Amino acid sequence: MQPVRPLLNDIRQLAEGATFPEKVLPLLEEAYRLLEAGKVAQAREAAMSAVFALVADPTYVEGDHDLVWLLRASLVSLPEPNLLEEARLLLEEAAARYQGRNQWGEPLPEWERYNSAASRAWRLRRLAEGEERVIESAVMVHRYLDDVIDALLDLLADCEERRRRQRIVTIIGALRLHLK
Amino acid sequence: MNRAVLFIRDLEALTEERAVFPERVEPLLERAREEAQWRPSWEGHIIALAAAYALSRDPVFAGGDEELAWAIRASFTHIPPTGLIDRIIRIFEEEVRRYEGQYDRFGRPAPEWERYQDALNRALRLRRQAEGEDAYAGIVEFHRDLDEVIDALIKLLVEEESREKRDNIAGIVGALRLNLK
Repeated sequence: MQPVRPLLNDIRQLAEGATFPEKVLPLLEEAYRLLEAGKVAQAREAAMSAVFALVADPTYVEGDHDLVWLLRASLVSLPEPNLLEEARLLLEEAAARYQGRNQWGEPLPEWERYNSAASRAWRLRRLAEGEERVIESAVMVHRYLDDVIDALLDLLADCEERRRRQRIVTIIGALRLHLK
Repeated sequence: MNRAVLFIRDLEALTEERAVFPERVEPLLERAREEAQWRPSWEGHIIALAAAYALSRDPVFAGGDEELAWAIRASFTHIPPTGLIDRIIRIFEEEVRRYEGQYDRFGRPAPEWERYQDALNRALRLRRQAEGEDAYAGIVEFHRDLDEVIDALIKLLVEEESREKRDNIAGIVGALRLNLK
């Protein structure tokens, strides 16, 4: 499943900076309309038409970082909720191991890293379960998924038990398929 | 050789082999080729993306096509710096040596040896491309090699018992993944 509404939100934001938004906005409106009607695949196609109209806009035609990220993020699909839940549990468990404070009374950096990734996995899971407003942007979906994978890779280096590493690597492999 | 050129090659192959109306795509590909030949990748890439979009509207591809999606996806891949690829080559060479001469009960090389030898070959090809050699027929092939190299490094993270080495490998995987984003 590809998150369409977050993608439309990103396109709308970029269209605000376009020189000729009138070439993009009708396609975007059509995409929203199709989405509301439950025609997800057609909504996505209309969204991609809007993206390519943006690519041709004078503001973006020379190359634009935000637009590249948007194109890239449009290819991300959401993992199944169960897989995200497994990732979240692993990260939460890792965060629990690093509970406590450093000498300046701040949380440990490992705790912050794993805790932040666990809450990103949780939001991704809720999005995958259909709660569309939980992440409003496709670029953020891409970033969250990427951060969850990064934190699991850190955990892989961090983990001394081979069997556990094997489990983590299976989850990483499955999550990476969604970024491909 | 920039990545736009590799992307254009994939689009050319898809257009030539399958498009119902290649005449709608070919002029864009021609322009993309001209741009990519003279300038670094972005402008060639943008026109190639427009060609990809034209292709996605062709009757053959309009229902959604996996190969076309892969080509678009792979077009965002960057070529990693040669220094990074060299570090990976050294890691895989070490692993290949470790499993050299080990065979399973049917007399075949150990699967670990095959895995790391395969990853080493891919890393060597990536380095040749990064050094300017024309080593790939298309960007999808390039993307796949990069992805397989990352997969092999991740498997090594499971096998490696030394924490210091795992940290080193995880750092390399992180750096390589930036090129896939």
